[in-house]
Amino acid sequence: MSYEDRLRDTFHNAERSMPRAAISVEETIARGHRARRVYWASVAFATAAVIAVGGVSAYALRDGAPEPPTPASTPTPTPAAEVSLDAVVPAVDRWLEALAEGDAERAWRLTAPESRRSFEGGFAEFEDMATTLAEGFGAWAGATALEHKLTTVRASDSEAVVVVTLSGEVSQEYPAGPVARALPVRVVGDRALVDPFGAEAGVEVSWPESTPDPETGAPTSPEVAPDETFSANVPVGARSDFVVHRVGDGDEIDAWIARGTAEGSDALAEWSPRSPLDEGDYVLTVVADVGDDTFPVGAARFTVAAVSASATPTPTVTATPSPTGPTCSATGMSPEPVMQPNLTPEAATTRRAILAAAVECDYEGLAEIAAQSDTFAFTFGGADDPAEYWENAEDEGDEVMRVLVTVLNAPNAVEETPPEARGRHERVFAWPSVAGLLEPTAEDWRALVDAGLATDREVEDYKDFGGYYGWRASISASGAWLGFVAGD
Amino acid sequence: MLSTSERDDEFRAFFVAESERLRRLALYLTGDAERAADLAQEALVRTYKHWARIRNDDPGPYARRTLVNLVRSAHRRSLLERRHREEHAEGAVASSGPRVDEWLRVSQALKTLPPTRRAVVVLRFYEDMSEAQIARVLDRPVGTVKSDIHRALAKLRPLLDESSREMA
Repeated sequence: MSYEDRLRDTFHNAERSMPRAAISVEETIARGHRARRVYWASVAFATAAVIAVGGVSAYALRDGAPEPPTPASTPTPTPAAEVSLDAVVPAVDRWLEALAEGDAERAWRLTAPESRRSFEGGFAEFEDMATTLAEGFGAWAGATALEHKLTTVRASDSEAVVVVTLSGEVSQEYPAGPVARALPVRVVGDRALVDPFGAEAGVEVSWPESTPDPETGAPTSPEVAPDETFSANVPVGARSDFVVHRVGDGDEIDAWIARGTAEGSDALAEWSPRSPLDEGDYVLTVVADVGDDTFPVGAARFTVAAVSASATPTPTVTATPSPTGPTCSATGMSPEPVMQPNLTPEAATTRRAILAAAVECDYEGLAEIAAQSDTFAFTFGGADDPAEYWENAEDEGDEVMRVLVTVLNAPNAVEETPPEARGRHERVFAWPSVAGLLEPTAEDWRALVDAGLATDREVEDYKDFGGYYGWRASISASGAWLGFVAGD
Repeated sequence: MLSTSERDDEFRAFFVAESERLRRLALYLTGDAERAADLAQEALVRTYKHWARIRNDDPGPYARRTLVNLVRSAHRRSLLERRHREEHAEGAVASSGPRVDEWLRVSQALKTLPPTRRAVVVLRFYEDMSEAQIARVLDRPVGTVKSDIHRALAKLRPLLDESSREMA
């Protein structure tokens, strides 16, 4: 029996004496229900894939849409007399503080009954989620440049529903950056309770979408045109109100109803300002009225840049772009490789070809180079076409072409894993060097930082983890491009 | 569009088939029964959350990948590492004696591996996944998986063989 077979037996024998525990299916499903609900309530932070809206105009009110827009009835600036909105902002702030401090009981008291009902296990389940809530909502308690924008959704003599849109610089899993988040608040008389989980459905602002800063990962305020078309995924059939406030100025700039067109389980609602927006920073709030007295909400920050005569779409690099070809994050970078004399002529040729294709944003050309290797790795997430994968990544703001050029100009190392382990009986050159070395030196890690491929903190994370798992490339001595991947 | 009851029914069937296996995988990856159950359940919750998207593919690899990532995240936050160090400080392997049970022996040996390599070896020899399947689950090149297995076996062999001799 081989050692590997003995190891299999060992694992299966060990099962007999494993500690036992049961996982409840019903509890798991209940938690799954809540996770979906909280996901929708938290979706303003999501960086997950959203629909591309650039040229999509399912129902553009701006361009002579068949149904003329009518002013939103909901963003009424003055509430009814008996209801005091003075309690709204303090209630939101206290709720956020309670979550940040881990005071679940206080946060629960400040949570509206409509939201409490979404926790089928009551307070105990809310308390179980305190950590998650603290990391999401609670982070707002430490926000800087915090502003509250109020949009009254419904108001009568005795009660009101108000959406509070928070705008500020918040640090969560990433460094601080400008973000926005909307929270429904229910007001009865002078008492306000926060209602972030009451709605079953959700709103996801799909444009403007914040792109993380490539260096720090911090959220950024995307630049948009003064007459931009904004969009959001809203529940099918919901009336959707788009409201724009200027950051630093409490006044509402524009508000309008946009009606969505159904697409799958969601509808795409689009809206453009009635008149071009001035230069400045703004926050967009989207409120959906699904007709059951719950109000899914979404919010996003954006910036309108100064309009100049020579204004063009902002390239991601400052060098001169190709006048005719496509552009990408590597446009303007030099195709000339940094000299690395240790490479074989074949490996050097492949490297040079990759760099030339990358700066030309020639995804198909790169895929052709990759196809010459039968083991080329670019992702293991289900994609099978590297050209499509890279193009989509660039479209979504991942600067993979810039990274590819940077990686291949970083110092390399000959991979130290044994040939039988890597399945190739020839030398393999790995970029950056830390990707190929079993025991990288301080100089190797420093070179990673100097190349702009990691920060000092990330290097410490890699060391703690036991190795580098960032973007890396490899080429065999015979010139086969073996991979360009990231991940651990 | 998938209704909630349809989603729940489909997920229940998946849960029945996979949950115990996931818990045991988590146990091998963490060495801690309570933590393993928590992480396995969290992986299942996340699988449920994205059920509509993954149901038509095989959700098993998704759940395993999520679980491994959860374990690695926990490790990165040093929670497991701290526990690991504390347990090692007690000298569990060395002082367990000839009657040490098989689970404890394997668990302690696995704890000497970095988390990703531990995941690779457990997926290979407990889950019987191919190297290519592991590469997909861990989003790791096949060559790196092979390298991980090679290094992990080199590390485990003396530990487990030595324990075997002690038991004999």
